[in-house]
Amino acid sequence: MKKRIMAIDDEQDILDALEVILKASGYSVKTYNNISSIDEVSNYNPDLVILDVLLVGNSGKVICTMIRSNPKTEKIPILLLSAHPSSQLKNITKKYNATAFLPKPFDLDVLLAVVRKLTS
Amino acid sequence: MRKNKKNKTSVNLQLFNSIINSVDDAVYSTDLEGRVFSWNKGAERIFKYKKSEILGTVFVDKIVPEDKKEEVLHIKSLVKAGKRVAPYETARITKNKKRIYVSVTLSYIKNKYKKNIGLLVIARDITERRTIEKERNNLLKELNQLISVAPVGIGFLDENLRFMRVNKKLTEMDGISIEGHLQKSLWEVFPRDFATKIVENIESHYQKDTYGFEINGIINKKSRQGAYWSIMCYPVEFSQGKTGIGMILQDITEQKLLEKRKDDFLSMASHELKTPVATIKAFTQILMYQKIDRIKKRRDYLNRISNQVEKLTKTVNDLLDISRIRSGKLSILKEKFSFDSLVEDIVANYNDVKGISQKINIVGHTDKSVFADRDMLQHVVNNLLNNAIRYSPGAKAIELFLDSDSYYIYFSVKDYGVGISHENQKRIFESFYRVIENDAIDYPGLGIGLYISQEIVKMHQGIISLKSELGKGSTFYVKLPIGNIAL
Repeated sequence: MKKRIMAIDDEQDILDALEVILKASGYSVKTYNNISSIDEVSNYNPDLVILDVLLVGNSGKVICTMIRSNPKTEKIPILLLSAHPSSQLKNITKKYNATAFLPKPFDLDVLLAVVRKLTS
Repeated sequence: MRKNKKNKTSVNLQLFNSIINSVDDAVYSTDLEGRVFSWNKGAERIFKYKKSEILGTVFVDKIVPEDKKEEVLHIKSLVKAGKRVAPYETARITKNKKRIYVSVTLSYIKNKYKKNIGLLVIARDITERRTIEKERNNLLKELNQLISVAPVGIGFLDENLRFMRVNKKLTEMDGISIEGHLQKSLWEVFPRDFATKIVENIESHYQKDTYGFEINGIINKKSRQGAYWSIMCYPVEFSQGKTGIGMILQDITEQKLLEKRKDDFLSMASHELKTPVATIKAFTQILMYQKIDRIKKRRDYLNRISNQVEKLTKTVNDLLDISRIRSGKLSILKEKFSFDSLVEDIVANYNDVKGISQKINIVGHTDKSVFADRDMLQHVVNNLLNNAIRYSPGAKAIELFLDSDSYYIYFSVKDYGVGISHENQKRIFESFYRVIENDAIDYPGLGIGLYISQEIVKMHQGIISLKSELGKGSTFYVKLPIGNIAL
């Protein structure tokens, strides 16, 4: 059975690129510009959430907290993506209890290696 | 026997004269009318009159300046009444008309019937001391003026950290009157946390040196407004050997905020540059490493790359614009064009973009051609629309109103978004200023768009303003002159 990945990013292009890359590597992918309810996560029940940390409106930080504070979703690995400097991203990952982070721009092989590790 | 006594008297007189002549002070004597009948070497040196020139003359005519003649009359009346004259300081004038200052001690000369027959005057030249004192007083006066008008808070503390003296600025900073400080300790004047921070810093420094430190906190018990402070302390010596501390306080909040805004700007600038690069890199790698058969797909990816390159170019141009504006090198190139067409083109582009929830509606029209820099005005409209889109996530519409009269065109962009607080409205046109109304919601952006827009509008002799309410949305208004050769 295919591993499910939920990608959330307000940059539609990045979202589309992630979809192309991950689908080509055998994952099932759902993309979102934003989510407003935790149900969207729990209903899909993904094996990994890839989240842009600086989303407009309902920021990535809020989504992260939402996932971690719901018993149905708290164990889902979260990979934070951001064009923030690595040091900042590292702190955010720690503070919001995300699983891993990857600074933008990223290499496809690095992304795939991280995704493989987090979904295995 | 009598001869011996006479000899002895003569020796004593000689000794007395040589003593009198050897002192630095002027020693002279006068009768009760002021006629001089003895004049020592010191007097010759100080007043420049030879003994032979002054003996028998009235001293007032020779060495008393006009403005001191009344004083002499007063003393003369005391002398006539046989009253004691306390030592006093006054001015005299020398033979070469130089004004000097002397301290004068008078004593009566009595005859054998103990009747006052004259005065012995000892005058000490205190001109140098007076000059130094005058200079010191002037300096003190200047220093006091400087301290009182200084744009920094200044306080002098004794060794028990009690205020001895403060300037006006400090009273403005902490909201306590000058009297309210005196003899009060740091803890009594400042809020406890603030005083403790200062004391901790004072204690950690070697007391003999000047030292500075920065703290943040609340200095004013009433306003309770936090700020960043730069504080400098230096040892001072008060009278009677007592020591204390001079303290200079400066509010550096603005400076700190500016530093923070610049840091935020750099971090955001790097974010804004990296985001399109991320997309470009991702699609380039997809095209390089993945097998994509359909030409349409390949074209779509290349198109996305091209769009992101454009976005990147725009950001770089914004950065260049701000640098040009700051160095005064942004030049304006005017042409005649229809403002309505410009707006229609821009809006059509926005309404075609995928992923934007808001529809932009144009309301009204200017029906005017303007003489202005087309690219610059395009930049302003784009910037206002971008902000409206960015700060009204989830809203359905954005309105762009157009209007005109004989001299001006008016356009405004209204969104139904998060709005801007009153505090932020005042600063929103500053460079590097980004609105973060709520910590949980952070919007990407460089914080230079409105600054650039305002500068462009100003360059066109126009006005940009806004009305906004938190939670309801914002409207930005632009009023632009039609231009010299408008039709």
